[in-house]
Amino acid sequence: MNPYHILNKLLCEEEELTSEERKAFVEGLKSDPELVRVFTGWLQVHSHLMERLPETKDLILYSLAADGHADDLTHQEASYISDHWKDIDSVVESHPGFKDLTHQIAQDRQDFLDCWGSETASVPQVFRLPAWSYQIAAVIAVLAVAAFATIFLVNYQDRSMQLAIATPGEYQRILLPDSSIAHLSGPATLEYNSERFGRSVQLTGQAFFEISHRPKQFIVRTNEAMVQVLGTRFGMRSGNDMTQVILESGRVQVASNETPPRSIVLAPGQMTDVVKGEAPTPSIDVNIEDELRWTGFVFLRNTPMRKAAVLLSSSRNVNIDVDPLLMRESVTGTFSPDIPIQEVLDALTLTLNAQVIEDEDGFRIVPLFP
Amino acid sequence: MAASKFDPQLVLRAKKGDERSRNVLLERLSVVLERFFKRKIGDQALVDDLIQCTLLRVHSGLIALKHPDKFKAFAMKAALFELHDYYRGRHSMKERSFEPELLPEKNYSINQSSGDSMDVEKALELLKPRTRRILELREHGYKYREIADILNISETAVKMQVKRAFEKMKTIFAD
Repeated sequence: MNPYHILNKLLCEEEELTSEERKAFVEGLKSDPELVRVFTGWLQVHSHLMERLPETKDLILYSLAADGHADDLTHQEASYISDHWKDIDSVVESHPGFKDLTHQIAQDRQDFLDCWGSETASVPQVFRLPAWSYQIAAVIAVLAVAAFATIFLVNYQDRSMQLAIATPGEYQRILLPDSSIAHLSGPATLEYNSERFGRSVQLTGQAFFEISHRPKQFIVRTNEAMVQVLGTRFGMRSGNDMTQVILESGRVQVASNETPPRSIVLAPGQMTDVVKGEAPTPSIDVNIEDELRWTGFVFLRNTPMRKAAVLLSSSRNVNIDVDPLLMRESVTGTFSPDIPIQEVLDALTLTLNAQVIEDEDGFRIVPLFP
Repeated sequence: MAASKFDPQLVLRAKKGDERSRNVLLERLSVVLERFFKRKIGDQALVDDLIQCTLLRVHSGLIALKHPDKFKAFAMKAALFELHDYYRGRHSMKERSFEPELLPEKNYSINQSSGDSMDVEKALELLKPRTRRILELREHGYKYREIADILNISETAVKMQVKRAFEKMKTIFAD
């Protein structure tokens, strides 16, 4: 195992290292002074930032006061933050990320108050009334409740049901309440309940899903099929009484909507179709670079740069030239349509030891050290 | 006529030790907290933990609450403290777990002297502003996906910026 690859995982992925990876990395640290120097330099940066990051309590009290909500503080808290204002303020102002953090805390406050407002509707107090009034009250109450329930349910449905629509050719990135992401490639509609999300959505049209890993299953329903997953990435196209599912990573169960449902499980790189009223077709292996091109994503899996440039050029409608020395180099990555082309090329060149040159004809990728 | 679910009289009775009032108060607050933490965190098991920690904080701090009509701000701060403590606690930088294995190497120990801190500050200034923001938000414990949402960019872009920062640091520390 290459310790630099492990270091890359350590920085860019959020799962833990395996014991083998950890062992290999420690071995690398013992034998490679360059790795130690780079790694300790990186640790110094984090130690430096951690040293400057104000305590949680200080940051919250400061953020509330700075956002104009000093009346949320007790006299004691206001006095404390006043005494420390200069120090905290100078740190926050000199660290843009810490400044973002104070804005986020102000947003958290507003979110809490929104939740408070929607849960603290008034509750009735008890009165003693003459006995006859209960009969009249009962009739009025029944009518009122019926009217209220009708209005409430209609409004509630309107308020909580979210409908995202992407017109033909349009791309939309929808962040769902559980942090999963639906990338709609129009024409597509996605419907879900934002208040009682329950990890369930209804799709028509085309979308690529990035499902956050949670203990509860995520369900995508179409007119023809139901897909159940825990955490994974896959594309779905629904229309003309057929749903197609293509899995990029993870594992999904695809079931028909018939009774009883019939289902199959897909592995990465596999595809199935579900025609209305029929069982899913047996899975077949496909090339996701080609089969998921409609998503607007560019999937590169050990793809030669020659082909990667063609895929990116046609996806983003830009001209990309690759130096002959780099044509056979292979690259891997998944790039959603919302990532600017410059960032995509920067990412690729990082792994190639190359650089991007932009001119009036488009982009050129050339070796860093020819 | 109607009364607030968090009527100051209810808060006052709870503060004075009336067990029933306290139970009613905390039960009503737990509904608000559930909605809030679900919106912020999502995962039900974590949400349940955060609700319990916040209720415990409110329970133990209630006796010192001087103004019962300020209960909303009191509860809000308790929820924010728990939420942000959780962020910091969940993401103790994985890189740091290697420190004990490095420290015996005297030459490479992490020096916190002011001179080195100055150098690190200068190195940080060489990064693009957005890259620096990402590193600083990461330090608070936000995950890449959350940072992406805060900065309104993709998660991949966030990871790339971290990688680039690292590449940049490599050259800086090589000098």
